Formats: sequence, structure tokens, C-alpha cells
Amino acid sequence: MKENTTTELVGSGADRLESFFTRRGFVKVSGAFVASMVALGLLPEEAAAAPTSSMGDLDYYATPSHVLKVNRARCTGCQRCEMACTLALDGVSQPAAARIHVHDGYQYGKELGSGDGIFYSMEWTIRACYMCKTALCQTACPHGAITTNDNGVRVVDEDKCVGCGACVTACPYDMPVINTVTGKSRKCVACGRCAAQCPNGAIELIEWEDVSHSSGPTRQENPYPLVGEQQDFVGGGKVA
Amino acid sequence: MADTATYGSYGWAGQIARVNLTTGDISVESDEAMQQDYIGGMGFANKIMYDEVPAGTAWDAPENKAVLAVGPLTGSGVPLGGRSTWATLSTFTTDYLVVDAHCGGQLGATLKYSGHDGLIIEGASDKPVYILIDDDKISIEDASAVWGKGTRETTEALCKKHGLEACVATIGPAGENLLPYACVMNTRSHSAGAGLGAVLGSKKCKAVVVKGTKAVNVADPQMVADLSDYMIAQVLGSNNNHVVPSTQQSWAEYYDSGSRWTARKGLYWAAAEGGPIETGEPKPFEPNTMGYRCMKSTKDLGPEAEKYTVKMAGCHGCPVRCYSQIQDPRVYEATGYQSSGNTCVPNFPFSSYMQPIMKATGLKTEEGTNTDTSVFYDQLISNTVDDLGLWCNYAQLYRDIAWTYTKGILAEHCTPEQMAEYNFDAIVNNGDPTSFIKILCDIAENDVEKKPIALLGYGPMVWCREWDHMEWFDNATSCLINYRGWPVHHAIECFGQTGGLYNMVFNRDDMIHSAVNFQGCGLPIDLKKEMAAEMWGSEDAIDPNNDYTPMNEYKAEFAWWSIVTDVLHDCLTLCNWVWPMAMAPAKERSYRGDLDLEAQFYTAVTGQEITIDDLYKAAERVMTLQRANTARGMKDADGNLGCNDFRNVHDVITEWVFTKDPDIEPFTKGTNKMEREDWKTALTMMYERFGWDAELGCPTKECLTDLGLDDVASDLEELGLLTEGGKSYDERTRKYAGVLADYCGDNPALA
Repeated sequence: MKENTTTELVGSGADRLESFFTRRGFVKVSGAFVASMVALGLLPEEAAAAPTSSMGDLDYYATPSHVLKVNRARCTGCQRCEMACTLALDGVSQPAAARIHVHDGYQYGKELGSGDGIFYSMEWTIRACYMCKTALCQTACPHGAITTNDNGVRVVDEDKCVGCGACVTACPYDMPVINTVTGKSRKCVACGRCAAQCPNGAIELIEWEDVSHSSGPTRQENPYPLVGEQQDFVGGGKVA
Repeated sequence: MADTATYGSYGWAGQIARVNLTTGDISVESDEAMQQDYIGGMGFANKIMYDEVPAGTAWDAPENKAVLAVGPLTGSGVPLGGRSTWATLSTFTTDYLVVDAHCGGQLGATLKYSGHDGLIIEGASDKPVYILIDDDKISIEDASAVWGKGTRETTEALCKKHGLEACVATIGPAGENLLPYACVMNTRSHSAGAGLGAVLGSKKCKAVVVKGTKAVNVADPQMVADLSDYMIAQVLGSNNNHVVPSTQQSWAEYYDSGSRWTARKGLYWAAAEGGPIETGEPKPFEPNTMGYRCMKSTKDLGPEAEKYTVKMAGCHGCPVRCYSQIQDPRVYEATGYQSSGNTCVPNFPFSSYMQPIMKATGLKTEEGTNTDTSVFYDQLISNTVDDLGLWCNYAQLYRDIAWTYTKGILAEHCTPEQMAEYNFDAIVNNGDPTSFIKILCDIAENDVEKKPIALLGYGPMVWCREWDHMEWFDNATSCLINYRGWPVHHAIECFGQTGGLYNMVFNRDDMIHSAVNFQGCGLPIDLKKEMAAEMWGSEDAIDPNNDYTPMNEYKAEFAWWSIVTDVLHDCLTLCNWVWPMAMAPAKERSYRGDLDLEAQFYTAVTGQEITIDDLYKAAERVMTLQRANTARGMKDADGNLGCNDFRNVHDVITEWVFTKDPDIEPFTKGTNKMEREDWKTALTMMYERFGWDAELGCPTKECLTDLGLDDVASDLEELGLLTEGGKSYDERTRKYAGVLADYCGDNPALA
């Protein structure tokens, strides 16, 4: 079993206090330390709310500076966001490895029967990183390959990532993807390139806020029944 | 720049898959040798058809192939790079010659991401199968469970099996039943037509399912992004690259009611989830509102469609968004399909093509605007044909249904019981289009003996002859433009001779939009004439609508340019419904477009330095290759295989263009009527521009040599189809590189 190298990043935090106080950077400190900092008014209250790590330490993650806010009613499914993302960050056009996801829900939504997609409601969800306060992708990584950058954003260190997929499994929203070509994990870094070129303004890069990051509905209230389950529909009409 | 060791070569995936359905053999082969000369897409597909399918092959023979191909720009991030092209033998035009079937949707990009530039389907299976491409894994799978199903149900079943992100390109009942008018559908409403569905049906190939997780590697990703941003900010307009809004707006110097830049204040995606979304007044230099410019539902269907409009959508990678997304409860009730909507013909099959002939009551207001009932008619037919995988030959099917009904021809051939089921009375008099489902299902069933209406699905070449109504070709109402069986696709009504000429060159309707985009872009004619002089050498290259002048060499240049740009886009692959960038919405650049963009994107993506003239030459090569292939497979007047007399056998425009408007002379204001001697001159000038034989219109030895097609010259010589002469390439060629550079100061590639 490989050592959980995440703990190597855990320290007193003293050497990171500067970025700590600017709500940037990443530190792990003891619960008592965080509690006292909160009590002294030196930390926002969210800090104390973060869960414990697998090592029994309390994790403190500085709040990210930005998050993508999406509106699926405005999304027209061109998927230029996915190409723009990978062109900017990987130097290639590779939607399957993009850090924002449209194409996988474009036809049928999140799952068959969701009532979504171009075949049904003509809505699908733009899926983008929630920039969680408690980043399970990061805590789950057995190689310490997901670190926090100066903007409080968790980024994948390609040199450390082995593509095990622990981050994918850990993320409640299935956001990280393992690039099938490089075998490395990919996740959003809040660069905003996708939003900058969205032809419908369906994506915005906003100052981080602790609310749902969608400015519109996110699911179909009353999904229509699946065509495949309606046996009297033959050749495009209700004729037997 | 990402390394090629990890991500592969720039632009092209570098390989094409080959699946033989007779033997079950599956292989991949390098396409590197074709890249320089044939680019990709239509070029690859036509080269493979020329090399591998013998002249005279029947469309439904196992020796016929269906070749799907994409190009270096497909899926690369270049705007409007989501298209793909197929080539196979025509099922519905004379002599079964090579035709191209282009489609958008998700197919092209997904194929590219699977690591393939193409797929060659050859042979024929004896039981229903589909081809599964899952990145490198290619297999032939049993399709018996989906055989007989519509395209929607098939897509749903195969996505359930292989993943919701899979792109399913499938035939419907029409293709299975070998109806010549059958197409291949992907992503609900994107169709590759020209009988391709029947070809796949003859191979018992129900579908091609593609999953792709790989990358398109690009040599200069920053330049691809910068050029895209520049293009979207100030060069790109709306659908058909219309560059002015359709209503007067404070920011716009011009407006034109015909423009497809239809967004305006007070016009909404009214059925949007969570409440109406206003299209508003999207302007140039606003990249985040580009996708609202083309409000296609109300443009196509009339104002009543607004309340059913959920949003727009369209092909992969395109910021224009020209596909209406409609939710009409009446359509759901009748067809079972919640969503509908399209762009162009399948969006308005009744209101634009049948209503003028059938004149159904309740479909137009007194002012001539489409009614709410009209929306129902159009969308019901749209959903039905798409699910049946039934193609319309660019609306010919609709004109033919309307005309044969109206003239009593259908009643002569169908039984009274069938006519009762088709219930045209309800369609024409009662505002009820639901019997179209029966009509279209019967056509798709292709049982001509029992259900004669299916003969309309063979195309006018067949039904007009069988039912003795060849006069339909000579009736302007038919819109048939060539006696080999295809209708107008922006013909003489689009710059007179120019449109007429490019309607002749393929073996189906042309699908060329380079000229009609310019015609409809919304800029005033005086400005367009200035622009024409810059691009095609003289203001005389264009005339005002319905005010045409006799043929001249600049019109020939414009026709040549329209053809090669279209072919180029189908090679690269880019959408010719919007490209080329001949004009722009930004006043700051005097509305000039940027003709070098294809070449600059090509260089950014592939890393190879190239000019637009090099690309035009490659496109000319592809056009001439198809022309040579046509010469091999075309029958002469005596029925002998092999014919190079294009002027008298192939490029024969229908009579009505000379006889319409009997009281008006050609070249007077108010008509687009053509004049016979002038038309002969027009053909001669176009032939010369391509370096073809000035009399016959076939590629000459010199022309083929100029284009590096010496092997093709040898083939034609052996068949006795080669002539000599024709203008040399240098003599006939006008240079286009940089002609608009004075207006392109913001172009990042020029920085």
C-alpha cells in the first residue's frame, strides 16, 4: 500500500499564514488551531466547518476565488467550451478530457429517463466544478497530486498524478476526468476561457459564492416517457 | 503546443477505418498520402470512390461503398468545424454516379475524436448489423434488435447500450426498405441524404455508432483560439453569414427583412426552461451573444412558433446556432416525440414547398404570414421524415406530393382506400396534418406494387417516367433544374448565370452557399459590387436580384469560386452554409470579410504553411476528380458506359429557365429568365475557368496534369474520354491570397 502522501502537506501552517489570511493557498492544521483562529476573528467561520481528514487532522482549505456559474436554459449545446478548455490548458481539442462537460448530457441528459437532452426537453446540464470548500477530490488523492493554487483552486499536478481515478470517484458530481490519452486526471482551474467564448453567455466566471452555481433550473420536473418504452410508436407516428 | 508523441499528428488523426461487411474484415490504414492533395472529407471520400469503386457499379451492389470522412479542421476548435461528408453512388439520379452527402450534428467531430479521419464501409452483410467505433476498438455488431425501428428509437437503444455520449448515425425504415430517398440521421435531426440510407440498407448496415475520447492535436493552439476570437468578434455574422439584422436597430447602419440575423428586442425563446429568454440585440464584438443572433424558429415557421421555442441549437463547434428547438404539444400528441426542429427544408416542408401548390386553408393569415396551424404541419412532417430516415431531395419530395395530389395523379395510381387513408381533404380543408404520417410511412415502406405512392420516393427520374409526366421537369413550379433528377439549390434566382452554373456540376443538388450567402447578406448592392470587384475582379461579377446582364468572365470567376469554396469546406470540413467569410458585420472593417481565414486556420491546426490559393487548387482538384469519375460512369445518348460530353448529357439545364415569364425578355428587370445562347456562353466560360474542355466540359489532359492527376488522365485516355487543350492553370487562375488584407488589421495571424 502506498503511503498517503497527502499528509506531507500537513504542517503547522505557520509557513503559509500569509496566503492563508488572503483566503488563498492551502494549509492543513489542527482543529484546535483553526478553532482558535476563528475565535480570534482571523479566519472566516467556514474554516471550522471543514471535515477531518483521513489522518484525523482537520483540513482547512482556503475558499476559492472564483467558480463557474451556469445556466442550462441558455446553453445551445455547441460544446465550444469543451474545445476552448482543452485548447487553452492542454494544447489540443479534446472534449472528453475537458474540465467542463456538455457533450455527455447533450442527447439524453444525465441519464435515460431524465427527460432531458436534445431528444426530449432540449435541456441538458452544463457540468462544471463546484469549487467545493471541502474538496473531496483533493483529500481522496493518494498521491497528493491535487494541490491548491494561489487562487484557492485545486489543480492536478501531472507529475504526481497516476490516473488512479480516486478523485473521480470521490467527487460527488463526477467532475474530474481521466484523460484517456495521457492517463492523467483533469479538473477545472477556473481560468474562465470557456465562459469567455460561450456564444450564449450560459457560463460565467464569478467571484466564489457558497450557493448553487446554477442560475437556472437544473433538472426536468416531469420527464416525458422514453420513446423506447412506447411500443405503439413505429416509424415516427402513433400508427400500429 | 502538445507533443505529437502523446497526442498524434496535427490536424488529421492520420488513419481511416475500413470495414468489410461481407468478410467481416476490419482494418485501419494511413491517409497521410492523401492529406496534401485531397485535404480530407469530400476529397478523401471522392479519391477513395474513384480508386475503389468501378465505373458502372450499381448503387445497391456490394461493390459500391459508403465512405465517411472528415478533415484536418473537424473538431479542432475552428468555428463551424462540425461537419462530415459521405460519398457513395447516387440512388436517385441518372446512372448512379458519385454523390456527396454532407451532414452536421455530432458525427464528424466524434469520429475525429475516436482517432479516425474516415470510415470505408464496403461489401454487404447478410443479416442486420451496425458498426461500433469506440476509439481504437472497431467491431461489427448484431442489429437485429433495432432493425425495423425508427431513428429515434434506434438511437435511444444503442445509446443505452454503448453510452449516452455515443453518436449514432442510423438509417430508418426508409433505408432498410431500400427506398432511393433514404438518409442517415444523427443527433435527432441531422441528415446525410442523397440516398445514402438506401446504400447502407443494401449492406444491411443499420447504423454507425461512434465514441471518441481522443484529441485533435493542433500545432498552434493559441493561434486557433486567437483566430476564432477574431472571427467571432468581427467577421462572422449569422446563419448564411447574413451580416445585418432583419429589423432596424440603433447599432446597425443597415437592416434587411430577409436577413437570418433575426434577433430583436421583444423576441423570445418563449418556452425556455425557467422563463422566456429574450434574443435581444446581439451586436458585433459581443462573443457571448453570438448564439442569439439566429432566431430560426420564427424565421422559418412564422411568429406563432415563438411560444413553442425552447432554444436554438445546431452542430458541434458552431457558434451560430441555426437549429430551432421546438416543443409543440400537438406534435407530441401526434408523433410521440417531445422535441422537434431543424434548419432549412425539414423545418418548413409544408409551408414553403407544399402550401404554394396545395393552398390548404387556415395556414396563412390574410397578410400571408404562417399561422399557428402551419407550425403544427411543418413540425409533424419534420419529425416523421426524420424518424423514418426519409430524405426529400432538397424538398422535391414535398413538391412532388403536392403536385401529384393536386393534379389528380396520385388518385389515378393509388386505390380509393389508400386515398381515403391519406386523407388529403383533412390536410387541405380541415387543418389536420396527421394523415401525413400514413403518407410518409407508406412512402418509406417502399412497396410500390401495393402502395404506389412510394414511387415518389424514387425521385422524379423514375416516377415522372413511370407515370408519364416528364412535363413536370419543364414546369417552373417543379423547381427541377437538371434532367438528371435534381432540383434547384439556389440557382438562377441567385445571381442568374452564376447560380445556374454551379447547379450543374455535381450529380445531385449542389448545396453551395458561397454565392447565396453573399446575395442575402443584407448589405446594399452598391457596396456588394465594390466588394465583388475586390474579390472576383469586377463589379460586373454580380447583378441586382432579378435584373440580370449577359454573361461575362467575372461571373464565371464568381461561379468557379462558389464551387471551389464549397468543395474546400467539405474537405476541411467547415460549414459552407456560413463559410466563406466574404463579408462581415463590423462597420469598423467596412463590412469586408476575410478570405484568408481557412488557410490561416489550416496552418494553425496542421503546422503547414499554406495560402488560400493552395487550398482552392486542392478543391479544384477534388471537383475535377469527381468530374472525371462522372465521365467514366456516365452513359452516352446510346446507353454506352463512358461519356465526356458534359455539355449535352450532364450539364443540361431544364427548359423552364428559358421559357418562364413569357411576356418578358431575358435581361430585363423583373425576371431571372435565362437566354439560350448566353447560357451556352456561360457554360463555356465556366469550363474554361476550370481548365476543362471548352466545348465538352470534361477535364482535359492538360488540366489533369496541372492538378497532378496524371493517373486519372491515363485512365480517361484508355477509355477514349480524354481530350486535349484547355487553359493552363497559371493562365486561368486569379490570386485570392490577401485580397482583403487591407481590412484585416486585427487578424492575429497578420500581426
